[in-house]
Amino acid sequence: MKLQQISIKNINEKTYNFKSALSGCFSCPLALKESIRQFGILSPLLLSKDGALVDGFFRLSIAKELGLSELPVIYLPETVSIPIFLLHLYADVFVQNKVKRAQFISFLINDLKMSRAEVMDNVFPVLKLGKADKILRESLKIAELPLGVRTFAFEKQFSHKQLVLLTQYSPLVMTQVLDLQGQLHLTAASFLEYVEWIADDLKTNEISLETFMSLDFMRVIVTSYDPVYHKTALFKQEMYTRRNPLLSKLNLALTETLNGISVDKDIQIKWDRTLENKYVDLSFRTVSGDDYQSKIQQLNYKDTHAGIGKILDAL
Amino acid sequence: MSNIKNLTVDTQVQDSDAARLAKVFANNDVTLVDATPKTPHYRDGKKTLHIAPKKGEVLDKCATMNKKYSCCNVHVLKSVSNCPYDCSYCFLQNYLNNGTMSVVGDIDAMITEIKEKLAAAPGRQFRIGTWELGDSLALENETGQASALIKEFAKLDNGILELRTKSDIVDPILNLDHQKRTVVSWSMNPESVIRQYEFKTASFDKRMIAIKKVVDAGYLLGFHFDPMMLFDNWESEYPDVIRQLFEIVPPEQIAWFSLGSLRFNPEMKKKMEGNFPKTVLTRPEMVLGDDGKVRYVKPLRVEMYKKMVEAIREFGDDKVLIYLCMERWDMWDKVLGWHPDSIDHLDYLFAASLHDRFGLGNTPILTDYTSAS
Repeated sequence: MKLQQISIKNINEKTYNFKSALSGCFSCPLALKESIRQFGILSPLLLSKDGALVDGFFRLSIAKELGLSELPVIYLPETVSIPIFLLHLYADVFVQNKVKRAQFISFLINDLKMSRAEVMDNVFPVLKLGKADKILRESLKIAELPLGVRTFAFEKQFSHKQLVLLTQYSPLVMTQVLDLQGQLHLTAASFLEYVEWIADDLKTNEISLETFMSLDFMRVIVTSYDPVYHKTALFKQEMYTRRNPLLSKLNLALTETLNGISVDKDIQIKWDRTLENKYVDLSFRTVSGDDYQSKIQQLNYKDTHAGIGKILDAL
Repeated sequence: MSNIKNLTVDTQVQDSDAARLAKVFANNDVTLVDATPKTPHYRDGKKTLHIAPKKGEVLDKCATMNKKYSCCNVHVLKSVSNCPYDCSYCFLQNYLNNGTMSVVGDIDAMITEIKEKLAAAPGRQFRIGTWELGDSLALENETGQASALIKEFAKLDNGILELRTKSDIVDPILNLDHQKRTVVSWSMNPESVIRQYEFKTASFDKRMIAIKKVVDAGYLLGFHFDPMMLFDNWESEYPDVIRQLFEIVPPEQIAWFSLGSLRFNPEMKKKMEGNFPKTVLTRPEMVLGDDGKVRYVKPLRVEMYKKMVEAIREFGDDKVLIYLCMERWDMWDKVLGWHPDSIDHLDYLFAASLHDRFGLGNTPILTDYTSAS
């Protein structure tokens, strides 16, 4: 393999440009541009035997931007399998990031026309995947997620399992939730949760996404200048009520029962809000013997007994 | 064999009765293999029937048993894996590592294991079901497994076989000498639920015809209203099923009723929606229980169970044992007005009911049950 200087026009950058297929997941480092501006291209680009660029896409784009006409290149021998070469070049990245891994698998099958069997036999072992047809199928679906979702999932380091979950939701709902970033606090887990909540809501109430977004609380979330934590709390509260209408109603009734009891506010009376468990938790903090005596007396009031009994009966 | 495209038989059990019967059904179009064929997707697995040897222990406790709930302590014989039916709520969608439908052909080996287990606790009555990972009778025409087990259980002193099905395949078992040691149970739901969620199973009417045949053959029967579903007309359709059952089944022949509601682990929700895109099962309000499964909100479950208990008392009698599956003691109190002291106590009550009502086994002694665990 010898170093050569060739015209930039003779470089075919389309065939193996999986980085553009992974758009949003790779970004050109600024330092590289500055380095090339000052010192030129120090490490040669790698080309396949027929002149297709295999490695050096950022260097090429910077060279074009800077108006360079010739570049140092090395042609890989014909015996080198380019997909496998690329795989080894980026194996660490693919093992760590499941979005890139999925997109690379999709690139091999859809762009380079490798067969599924070839991918499972030659690529999966390097990615430590075993020969799992299921992962291959799932990866192809992950690669089809909307670009914004893929980018978000890449940034938030979604697990493969989380990505598979995403493939089951409507792209519209996912994109809508992404649009709420800035209004709602979004993590990997909360993104998945909110997508599921909204998708379920649309099905349960048989409404369109547009109708959902025009609900009063969603309008407040989208248009108000309240802090993000406040809007996130509002969203969670409203969605809980919509998802759990009966529980919300019953818990409200129990809270009203509790409000009828005349005990100090620092005597905590709690119950399981799912209503699955029949118990009431009582707790208080005391600061003196007299205070203790007073609280015990309050717990022995008839209306306290009756109120707690009512809650337990309801449970 | 209409839905079964391939029949494979493990070489270790190629001379078993199950293999022989299966060969007849397949017109000898059988492949001998050394291991269970692998089928990744549970639904694809329904197209292959494999006759397997017994591997390891096959008698176990019900997998859903959870000490936080009042469970019935039934034992399960892992003699079947996967099922030709396609219920949209079936947990096998999210459970099987290998989807290939298989039936254990080694009846003798299974019975030997059962006998050893039963001999270790002669004072206890063991209820043993074959329905944990499949339907007890759906493949009876092809394999004859249930018939073989019925004949063996007829000779046991402290074992009751429970076959649980959504099929109408009962003809092969009608003329067997069962000695009342087999309870033939149906998983029941109104026709509207069967049509909407229990795909490929026998219709309500076909199940009723099969039930009548089993009544006439003198078997004890069980009815499992589990999972019960919430839908627009549940309040009238469920009691109506009870009414129709008692028109053809004398209460004296009913060993038990069980009641339970739709429940599934959250992970299964997406599987169900993926496998059955039109399903509405996952839409109602549900809460997560201590067993990691979501179920309808408690007040709704109370209402459903109460309705059923009222119907059983109204159309049947008050001697039939009714139990709740995967519910807490306070649910028993609300629905039945009492609760068992423990899982073992409930197990004892089953034995007492079988003895007192049907003369099965010796008089049970509570400590034989409570001291064992």
